[in-house]
Amino acid sequence: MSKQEHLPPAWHKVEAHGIFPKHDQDDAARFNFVANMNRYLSQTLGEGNVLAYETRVKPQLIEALNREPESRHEIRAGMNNDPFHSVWSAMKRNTMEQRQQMSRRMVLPQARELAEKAAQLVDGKDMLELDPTLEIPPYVASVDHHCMPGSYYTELFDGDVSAGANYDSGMFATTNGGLGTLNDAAGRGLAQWMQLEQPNFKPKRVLDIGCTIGQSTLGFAMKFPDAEIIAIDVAAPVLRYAAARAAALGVTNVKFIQASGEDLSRFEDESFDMVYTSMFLHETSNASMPKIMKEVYRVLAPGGMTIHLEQPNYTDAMPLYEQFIRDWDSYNNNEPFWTTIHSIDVPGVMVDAGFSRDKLFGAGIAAQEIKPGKEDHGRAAAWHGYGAWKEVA
Amino acid sequence: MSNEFLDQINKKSRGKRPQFLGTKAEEHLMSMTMALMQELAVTRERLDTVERLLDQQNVVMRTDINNYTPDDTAAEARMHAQHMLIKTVMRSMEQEIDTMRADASGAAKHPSGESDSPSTKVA
Repeated sequence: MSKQEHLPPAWHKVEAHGIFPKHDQDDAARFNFVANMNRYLSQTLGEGNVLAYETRVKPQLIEALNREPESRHEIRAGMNNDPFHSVWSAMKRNTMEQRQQMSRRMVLPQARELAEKAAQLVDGKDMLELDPTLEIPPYVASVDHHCMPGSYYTELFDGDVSAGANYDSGMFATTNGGLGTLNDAAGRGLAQWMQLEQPNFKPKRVLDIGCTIGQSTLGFAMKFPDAEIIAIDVAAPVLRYAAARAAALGVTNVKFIQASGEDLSRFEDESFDMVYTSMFLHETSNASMPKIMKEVYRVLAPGGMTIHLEQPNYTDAMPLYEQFIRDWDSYNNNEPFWTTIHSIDVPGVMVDAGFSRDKLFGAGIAAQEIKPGKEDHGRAAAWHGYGAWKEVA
Repeated sequence: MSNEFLDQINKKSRGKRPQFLGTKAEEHLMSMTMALMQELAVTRERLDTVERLLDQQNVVMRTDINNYTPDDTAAEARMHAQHMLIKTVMRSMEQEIDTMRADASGAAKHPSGESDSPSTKVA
């Protein structure tokens, strides 16, 4: 054997909590394959993309444009004609589709059992509130994010949780285990950052917008057991799963509510002392994000804090090639807003929503226990936090 | 476990799928190759499980498996099995040779009067 490659953890390391779908030998092996293949594509073959760009695509672009490429879009146009990058992209897209297919193959045959178990887990507990009248916003309905058939919201029958089970089971493979065995690195990292950097800030009532299955929510909630956490999402199947998952893990300070971040009218003005999102804004839209931010400002109490975790922005300091490769998901993994969110002025949107510019801050968030591996652009367990304090009147 | 939602497993996600390669046919070939690679990995992992369990339970040792030398009958049977596997995978190439051979002899007419399917001809 040659040098030991840095391999992802085996899939069975994921924590099989009380509502986690059952799996067999072959299910686990399929996840192992996708994790391994993802790692191989990003780490071993990633260099090939760089070489294709430097030795073939860039010289061709310079010749055609009579200048150096000036945007990630020009690089993408060139790279999409390169045979190495085309095959790499086709394979990477396939791993996303395989991840969905194998999760569905495992989850759907047990969908009714999981639904019954989920209902039992939350029975008699005040952990879940659904709103069947809520309309799925266009930014969710128009495209199935990360190639997830039926997205977060499709129900195969009343009480269905399969979308949540599907999402939960595949995340560990897609992120190569980088989010931890409960996939909660973002929430845990945020809580750790607060305890370290803002030790005097102890929020009592916290809102998490766009929580999906609550994996980040629980990471945060477990570190702030005295806080009351409200976690909202537009999709019922993931919320049912989230509540059952929290109950199975013994977390009692979270309530999951079906609501849209664009309309928080069910919550009173200044009724939270912290509002956050994690890897959520990039799945919204140009039209909805400012509305969400205005609602965040409204429900936040004076002296309260808001923070939004995303991958780093494409600044002028970031090399164009890195911008291009980070942008891959936007064009090839059903993340249409990804390219926009990473190039617009998020702090400006926060100021427009009411926050004072001098109360804005940025934060680097990463869960400390997780060793950062080699960068898998766009999927690393480290985020930029767009933060702001609300002024005390 | 039920088959109630069997037809949902291969569902496509909403949103236009990009075309990465020259033709849609190549996209299919890539998807099939990736699926086969995955299923091969699955089979090997399962076989590894079987070997480890047999070893743990002192039924068959892994070293015995690694050191196994077939007798002549078994060796011939295995060579035949491999040959059949290769033929199975290489079906389309064999079919193309048949077509070329028939074209060369001028006797490529199907009983229906049509010549052989264009899909088996060289692109």
